[in-house]
Amino acid sequence: MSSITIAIGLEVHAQITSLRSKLFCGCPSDYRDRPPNANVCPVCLGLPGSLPVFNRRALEKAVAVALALNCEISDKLSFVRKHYFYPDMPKNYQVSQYDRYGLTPLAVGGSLTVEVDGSRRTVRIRRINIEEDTGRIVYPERSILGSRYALVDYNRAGIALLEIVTEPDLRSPREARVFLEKLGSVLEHLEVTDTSLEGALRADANVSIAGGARVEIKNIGSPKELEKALSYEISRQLSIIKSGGTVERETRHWVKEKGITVASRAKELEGEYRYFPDPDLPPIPVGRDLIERIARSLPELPDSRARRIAKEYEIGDYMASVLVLHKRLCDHFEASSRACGSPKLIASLLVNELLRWVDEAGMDIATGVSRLSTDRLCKLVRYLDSGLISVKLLKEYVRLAVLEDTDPEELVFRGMTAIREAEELERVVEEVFRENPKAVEDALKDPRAVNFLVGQVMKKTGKRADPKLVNEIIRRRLFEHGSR
Amino acid sequence: MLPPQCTRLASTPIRVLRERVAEDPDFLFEYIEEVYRVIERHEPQIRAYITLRPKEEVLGEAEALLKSGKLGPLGGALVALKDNISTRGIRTTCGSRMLESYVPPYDATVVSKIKESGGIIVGKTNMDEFAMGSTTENSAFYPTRNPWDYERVPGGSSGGSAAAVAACEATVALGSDTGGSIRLPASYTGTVGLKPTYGLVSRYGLVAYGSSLDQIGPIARCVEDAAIVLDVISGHDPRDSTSLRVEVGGFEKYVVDEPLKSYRVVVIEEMIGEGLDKEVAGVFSKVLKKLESRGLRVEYRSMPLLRYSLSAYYIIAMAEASSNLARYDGLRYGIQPEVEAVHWTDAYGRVRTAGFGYEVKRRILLGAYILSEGLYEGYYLKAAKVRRLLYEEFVRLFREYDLAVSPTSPTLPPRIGEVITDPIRLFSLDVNTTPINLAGLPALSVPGGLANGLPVGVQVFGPPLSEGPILNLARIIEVSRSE
Amino acid sequence: MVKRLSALTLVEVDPQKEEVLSRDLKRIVEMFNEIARLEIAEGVEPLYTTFFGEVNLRDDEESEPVGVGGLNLCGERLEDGYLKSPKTL
Ligand SMILES: [Zn+2]
Repeated sequence: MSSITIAIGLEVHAQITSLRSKLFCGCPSDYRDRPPNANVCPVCLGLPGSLPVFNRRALEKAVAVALALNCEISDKLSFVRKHYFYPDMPKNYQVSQYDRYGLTPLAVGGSLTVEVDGSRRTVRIRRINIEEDTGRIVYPERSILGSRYALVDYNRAGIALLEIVTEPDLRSPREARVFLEKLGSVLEHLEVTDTSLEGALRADANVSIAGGARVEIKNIGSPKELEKALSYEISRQLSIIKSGGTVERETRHWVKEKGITVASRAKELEGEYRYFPDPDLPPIPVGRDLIERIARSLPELPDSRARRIAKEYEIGDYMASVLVLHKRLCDHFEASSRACGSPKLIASLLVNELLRWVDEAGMDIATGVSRLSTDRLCKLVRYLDSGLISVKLLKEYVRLAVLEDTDPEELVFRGMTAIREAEELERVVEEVFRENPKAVEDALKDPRAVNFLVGQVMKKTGKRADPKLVNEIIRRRLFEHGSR
Repeated sequence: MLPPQCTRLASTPIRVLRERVAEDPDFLFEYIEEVYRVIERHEPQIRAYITLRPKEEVLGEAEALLKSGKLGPLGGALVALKDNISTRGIRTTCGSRMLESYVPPYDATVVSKIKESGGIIVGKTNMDEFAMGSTTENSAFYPTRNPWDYERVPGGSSGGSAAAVAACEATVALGSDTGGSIRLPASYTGTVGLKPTYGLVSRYGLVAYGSSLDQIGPIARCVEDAAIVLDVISGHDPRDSTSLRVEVGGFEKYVVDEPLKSYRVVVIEEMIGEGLDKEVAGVFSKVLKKLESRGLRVEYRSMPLLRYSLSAYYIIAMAEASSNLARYDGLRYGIQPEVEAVHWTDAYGRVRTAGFGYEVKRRILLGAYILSEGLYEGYYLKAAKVRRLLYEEFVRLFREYDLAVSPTSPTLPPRIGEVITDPIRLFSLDVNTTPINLAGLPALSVPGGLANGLPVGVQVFGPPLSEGPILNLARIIEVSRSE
Repeated sequence: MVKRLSALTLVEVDPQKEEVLSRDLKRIVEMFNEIARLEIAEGVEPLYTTFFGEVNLRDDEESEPVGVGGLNLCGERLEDGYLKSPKTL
């Protein structure tokens, strides 16, 4: 697979969740806990005669993103209407931006660099648009195909959205995932998007293999799903190529539940969007003073933060680069390191343990972080330092904290501590020797067989024994045994 | 200049109504009763209204208004609204089957302003479907007849509003003007119709046709009433992105019988060129003579670019219309689609095919054509450039002149059924009015006199925000008519 | 051409009127072609609006949403608050 070039481009849709109201009306931008169709007004429902009025704060947020991604920013914000009929669009056109007919997106020509497995890739940003989100379509019965009708909720219609489009510079599903995570982190650092909210960060991806036809995959809801969808799609295309077929240019849908992409029913006349400048929204000047003011107040962004924490906490570039992919995680790292000390240990617990369990459980990082709280991390550091728990137990403690929300103190009460009293261990070792005479004989001949005995002791102690100590005791006893 | 349906009482102007009601509150009831008598007698023939409010409801509102003591500048005037202006709780059909049962949940900004200023809504008036037309024959319900001659059209698209005001079935009315839809019916019905500067009156709640061209404006029996209504409805509205932040008010002050300034007046030659009826030309030249006799200088200028303005106008209007009318799929309001076991494009297609009339479909299809990939540059973009050039020509013209005058329409009101079958003839009724909308200028049609017993309107227009001088000159034309 | 435009806009005309429509459209497009043929000097910017004031913007403030119930629309087609719609798949 490494000899075949894979080109992946992304069209990322990020809601500006930090706004209080929608893009063109005063309805709250926080629609997630509202009953369906409760979060609407004449404007976002597109009633006859209603008119949009632009939320000025959306421009400030978008400019901050454009600056963070090193884009060139247009001197005006001009809106167009993009037409297609779909039940989730109240006006049957979407207010967006366009780059032809002398019109311009808010920003063009930026970049974002990602690092995967030690190699860096600079991904070019083609453009950034401000546009309105659509409503949501759900199906009343479990099976989409079996349902006789659809259900629409317009609560999301009109939410401010940034469309960030990359050039096809990504080369693997893993890279795409890391890119989306890092972009999400940039948006988090800028306080534009709370990426932990369902549907706040979505992506459409296009893939082409070995210069073949471009296939678009729509409806991808998170970085992890992006990696899965691309992996699936690439193997699907590779198997077509292998069997002598050609990949066709098409649009496919990612079906998360099944983990597959399916061909979309080809929309007739797709691409005939009949763009034209929205006469209800004349161009809004984007002043140099506004850009300068926002540039001056830009917060620390992931790249510079990674450089700083690597140095400040001496955790190495790799750990730092992973931590900054998630603002919450990195904030947690810094807060916990300051509170508990041992930054190297904490970085390793967060990067190697927490992320693993969160990923496996399909949990969001915010939940993981709240379960492996600073308070709990401090306890863990203390327990390990004092020898109350071994490194092996420490990992177990992290697992239980993340997956089951168990406090380390609770585990100590349950007696899940390292058994360090030699006397008790001597007893257990003696028992194991008695029960496994054959293994003892083997171990005397071949030192590698010692591990079996150690394992038996660990088993009997419910992993609570300090393996180093167990090893020592067994070797001493074997020596005594042999010299007898 | 009133048609025979009007009685003395029913034709009371707003200022007089205000004064009489202040002296004697019962006058308001007498007045309303009289207007309803006129309605009962003549509305079955004229058919100006789509929805008429019951008299009892209107009388009840009048009583409440008197009790509140806040008679405001409108003093209980009965205001008819074109049926594309949203009214909370009163259905707003746009003259279309599509919205036959649509009841807006909110008032347009102008409606709130009317209500706050002592106006009483009397009903919603007939119009060409979605304001597309120049005769009111394109209403999905029935055509409206011209009060001066029932065999003739009242003009359009605000034909119902103009006919209601002309026949004294309302005190004043609001219409909307995208390419002449206020001025043309005003001209054909002998009323005063004003299209304000783009952005002077909020469009919030006006069902959009051509958003960059649409303006709401008054239709009245005299210049003064038009000025009073303009004072009420103009002004900044934060709900419309294209609402101007300018000081307004005081338009009433311009309605005086003498020129407030020695206006330099211009006639654009292309507006009195080929296609102009000799009856219209006759009335127009009489008006010019009277202006000159009052010491105003009238000069002539040519503007060859006007030749392209009708095409530019229809390209832009159709493109915008096709976009604005995309939202009518029945899902959220209007004609209900089937929803079970049907694909959405099929369900939408059936609703749209059944809900829109022929003229609307024609413009939707053409609008989509104009905006198609590959054609945009040739049509829409080009039309927008012509629009720029035209605007700049007007800017230059109004550096030299204060105001311009022209016939509002090149013809007398056509007979019902006469022009509707030929699209180009229909469009050419708007030849003198459309350039004004392209340039966003204010313009007013005032009756210049009668020809063959039919009213002929004179269009007065000027640079942006020249409504005051326009009203002044219109008033001079109005008073010199009877001289 | 009419077929494609119909598919694009989801409107169809009465089959009996199709011929008239084609003829009308042709006439109108001919009129529009006058503009397409017009030569305009380089550098003339298109004018999309005659609004030359400062565009109104909103401050980012919430107002109470009305909700589809308060708007009194399509009530009978709501199912658990959702609006019933034709299928999209
Ligand atoms: Zn809203």
